[in-house]
Amino acid sequence: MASLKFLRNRISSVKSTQKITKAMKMVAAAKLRKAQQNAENARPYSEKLNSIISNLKNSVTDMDSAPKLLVGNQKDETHLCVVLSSDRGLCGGFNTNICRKAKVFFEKILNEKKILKVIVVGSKANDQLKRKYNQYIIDKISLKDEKVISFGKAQEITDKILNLFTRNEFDICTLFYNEFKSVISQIPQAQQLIPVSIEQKSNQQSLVSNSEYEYEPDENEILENLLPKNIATQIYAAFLENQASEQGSRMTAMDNATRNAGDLIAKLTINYNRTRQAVITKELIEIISGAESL
Amino acid sequence: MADNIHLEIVTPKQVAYSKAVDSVVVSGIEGDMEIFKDHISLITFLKAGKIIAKSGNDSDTFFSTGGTVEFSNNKLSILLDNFFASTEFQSEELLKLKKKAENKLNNKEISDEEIYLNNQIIEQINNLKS
Repeated sequence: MASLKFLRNRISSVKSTQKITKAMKMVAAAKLRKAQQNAENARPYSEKLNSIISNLKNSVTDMDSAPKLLVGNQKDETHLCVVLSSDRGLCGGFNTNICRKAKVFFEKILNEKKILKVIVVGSKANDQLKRKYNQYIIDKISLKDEKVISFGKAQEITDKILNLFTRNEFDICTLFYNEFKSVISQIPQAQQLIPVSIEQKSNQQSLVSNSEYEYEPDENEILENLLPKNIATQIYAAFLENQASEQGSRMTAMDNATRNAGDLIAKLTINYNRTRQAVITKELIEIISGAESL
Repeated sequence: MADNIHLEIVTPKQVAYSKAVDSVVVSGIEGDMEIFKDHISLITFLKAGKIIAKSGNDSDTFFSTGGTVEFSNNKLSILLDNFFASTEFQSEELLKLKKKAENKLNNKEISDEEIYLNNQIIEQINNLKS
């Protein structure tokens, strides 16, 4: 049986761990509220932009002269994957889930003998992917110095992607991130950025009125300007979703950790009390038998 | 009221303004325009400038360095890159934007269009100050 001193130390160490996880949970909960708010606030913008673009897409009749970002290169040889993760750990399966989703996709591409290029955002994705896919990683973007993800950061990544695209370095771009469903459920998502995939479910009503639109300047020019902006917006929205997911995931993980620490303390305390009682009993026996022998 | 349009100003950060107004003045990329009820459906870009939402004798003034306007079915959606209410016309953020535009102008490789747009940003921000 472990010594009393050992048990005492163990209990106090678990207690201090519990304090830390509890504090982290509180912090995550506070940050989550803010991140969730941000994500919700950003939604109208991306929805509006999406509806404008889907309107425009329907009015583009000549696919050859349409912007490349909309229709793509008509090839799918080279895939660029952008994996969004966090820079900090201790958030449960958050980063692992994205990476697992990404890895499945990577394997599929590699099996089809296509070329894979990867941009990792946030150091955790890099840590998890570099062992197996290091030769495919072409760029690493750190979020270390960003406290709150700004639109500027999303713009920066977009510029990088667009730069690669204009140099014909890839044909299809896919973005990996965690969509925030609720505190306990975050769903890893793979979203195609280039060529633009617009959900056709957007209301039928807009399709009816689209022929009446007046464009100033003409459709193609508007599209050329809007599409890069759309990509930036999507990346930004993904960032915000990711952030909310990260905090949600961390909150759940820390909540579990706090509870586990509580269980552990209870077990250790029982053990400690038993051991203490055993020691007392042993001492008593020794004293009594010592007295008897006199 | 039946005789007005619904204006919604949206930025990546938030829905900044949502209200029924009589008319809206925007500085479109091909010239300023005022949009009234039953305007034809329209999509256009904005250059730097003020956005004035008028309702009755009141008007709200905003500033932005650029964005997109969509008008259909008497709903006007303005998607802005950045948004400043009239109380924020002296803010530090605007100075930063001006700096950014000036830096861009120093870059030799930019197109005429960009030169024009960035000049507009600087000019409009200067106008706000006075």
